Amino acid sequence: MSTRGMITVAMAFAMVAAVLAGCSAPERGDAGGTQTVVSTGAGPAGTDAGAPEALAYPEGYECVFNADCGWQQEAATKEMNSALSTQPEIHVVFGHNDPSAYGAYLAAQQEGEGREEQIKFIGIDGLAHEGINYVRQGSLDVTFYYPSGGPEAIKAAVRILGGEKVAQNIALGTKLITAENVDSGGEEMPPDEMPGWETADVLDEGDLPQLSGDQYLIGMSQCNLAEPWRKQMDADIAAAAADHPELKVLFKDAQGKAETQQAHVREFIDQGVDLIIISPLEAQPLTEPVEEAMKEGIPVIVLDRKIASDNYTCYIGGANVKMGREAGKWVRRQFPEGCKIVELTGLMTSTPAQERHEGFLLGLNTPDSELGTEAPAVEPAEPEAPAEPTEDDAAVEPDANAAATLTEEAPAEEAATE
Amino acid sequence: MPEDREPQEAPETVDGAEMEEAARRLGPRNPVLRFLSQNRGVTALLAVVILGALFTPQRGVNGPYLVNVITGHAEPLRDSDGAWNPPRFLTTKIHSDVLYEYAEYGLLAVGMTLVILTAGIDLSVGSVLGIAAVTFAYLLIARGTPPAVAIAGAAGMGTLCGLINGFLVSKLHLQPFVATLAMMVAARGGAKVISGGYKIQAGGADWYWVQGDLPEFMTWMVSPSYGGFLRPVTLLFIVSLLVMVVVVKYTRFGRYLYAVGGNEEAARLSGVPVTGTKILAYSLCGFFAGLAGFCNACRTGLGNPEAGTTFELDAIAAVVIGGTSLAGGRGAMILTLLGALIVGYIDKALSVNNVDVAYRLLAKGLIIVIAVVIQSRRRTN
Repeated sequence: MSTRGMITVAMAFAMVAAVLAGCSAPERGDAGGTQTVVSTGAGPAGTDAGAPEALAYPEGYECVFNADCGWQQEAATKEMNSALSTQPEIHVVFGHNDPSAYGAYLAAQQEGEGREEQIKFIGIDGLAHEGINYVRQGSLDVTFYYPSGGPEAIKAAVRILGGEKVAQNIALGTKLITAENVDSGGEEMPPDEMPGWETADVLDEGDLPQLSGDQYLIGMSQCNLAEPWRKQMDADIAAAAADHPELKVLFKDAQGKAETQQAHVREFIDQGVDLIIISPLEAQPLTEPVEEAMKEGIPVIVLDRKIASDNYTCYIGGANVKMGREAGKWVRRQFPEGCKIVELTGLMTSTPAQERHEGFLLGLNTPDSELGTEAPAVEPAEPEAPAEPTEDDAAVEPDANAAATLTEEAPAEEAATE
Repeated sequence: MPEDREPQEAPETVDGAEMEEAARRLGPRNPVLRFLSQNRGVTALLAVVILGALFTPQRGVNGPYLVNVITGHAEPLRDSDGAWNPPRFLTTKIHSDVLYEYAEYGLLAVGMTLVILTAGIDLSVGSVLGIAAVTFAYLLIARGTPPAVAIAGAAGMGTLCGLINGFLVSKLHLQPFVATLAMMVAARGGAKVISGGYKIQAGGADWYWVQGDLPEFMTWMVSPSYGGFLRPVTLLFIVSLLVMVVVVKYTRFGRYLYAVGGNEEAARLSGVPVTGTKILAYSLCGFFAGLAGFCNACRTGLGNPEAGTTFELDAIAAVVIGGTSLAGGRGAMILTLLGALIVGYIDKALSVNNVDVAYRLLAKGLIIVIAVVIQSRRRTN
């Protein structure tokens, strides 16, 4: 009996070993890129988002270890331990969020051999009490700020309530934050220009309208307040609304349940709010309630993730590909000769992780001529990745691909597990 | 299994007699083989480690060692400078990492074993870990209390949650599943109240006592000491486990646990203080969850109100894989260690091979099924 037990366990392990023999590290680098990105919703520019071409790490930039950490710091620490024990040389750790990068940093530090000094740690999100704090402490070398869109949403709300028309799609940029510029707020990286999209600057053109009437009710439907970034979004909205005494914002938290969020939107309609701001959990389930609100004549501002139709007043968001791309370019600038990379991804079944991964590969594949922080006005097609949309082109041509990428970028989906 | 409940199966006869009988029937003469056949957990762990040694990569080489040997891609075990480059499972670092990474689950599983032996279950340990982690971080980072006070706070918070669980189960006669489910939800809420919904970390808020680097104490808890192999967190886990092995095996309280889990009514009639035993078991479970929360805060360098989500499932898995029966009254603390290590080592072998998380989850499911099948066959034999 014992021998049988032993054999059973051995067989289980051999099966597992067979699986891993078939999928060991080298091919794994581009796993996310080959995934079919499910495009939620028709693009606002009316473009068809086809499956993107498989991107890969360019020559010289090797992904020596890649693991899905599901946005969790503990998982990142664990995976980084494995990477450190098998890889004698690591130059860059790219964490899909700041906690992942920080977890990797702690793993390297806890090793006690000073390896954290030899590795550049890159994070994303740049929340004040997370990423920015880690950069200030010297744990992360760089983080890319993920704007919540909250202040922009309130500006847009004031303009809409004042009877003005605002652009339907507003793209947000990012900020590159390093130890040098952390105290001055980081280096602004404006969004890449794309047809059908405006930057948040349009909201600052001209004075905000003076609102008449005593009070306007705004319903804010948040999909999951358990995520620090979303908590920040609500805080940003509350802070921006505090400057406008005529606005009263009602906050609701759907706790990660699409059904609850549908109910919240209907409650707002029923209550007769003047405007709805929504950060949807998922595109499809929230489309119908939003359309219902639009039909009732209530303007809707959609934040971060999209809905599956064009029937909304204003969309603000979409920085995930941009942040990944800037991270890739930063690596190119730091290591022009190539380097060994550990990528600790977010939950790869969620769109933000897919987009951050894809953006990172796009950034690594950027030709040398474009590596400067400002994009040249006109440029030739990229020889390395001809099929890829070149987002930071200064929109010399209305490239359908470029818009397609943004469409995928839009339904950002911060994983509920973060 | 109904026969688990029969009184004659209760305390003293649990493992020893059954094993001896099996050994009489099947046991090989060779003492090493006999030891292995009598201690299936150890055998399975050895098998895992040996297979791990064959299938983990060498440093700087991708892919399982055995596969590389067959395909001719393996590096020599000793390079020209005379430095060894064995598969990673033959280095101490991996073993140190496994023990360290499983310390939190291990602590939870130690407490969980006590509760499961009484035929109960504690679903709240993950949330209690979370509330203890933020309590510790709040006291140490935000309030600047000495580490000892912060640890006492975390352990105390855990014990309090466990005490409430025990009270609900034994005095109010709530089913353990229901009572601890309620605590699981409530403790998570409590963790968010204490932390204000944010992660408590150095420099995270203006009024925090610690503004600069991580408190030295937290760094020390997770830095290799004791010859570079053990970290204080790992040591805490091992010491807790050894103490509880002794308590369960050699004290009156330990025997009461088996008696209550084997047949509660019979235990009550024989004068076993059933209520007190249960309250103590749940309180200890909470206490160890509190310690695990303290370890979690030190490992992550912050107090995360979301820490420990779904950890209760890993703790239950470790207990079950070890061979402790969810029906109660059967099992042992040392088996829990083996269960935790088997999961830990398999996870590690897959992780250093950079296997996709999806396959790892598949493997984990497979292991649980195999472990339980082996157990139930042992019982029918």
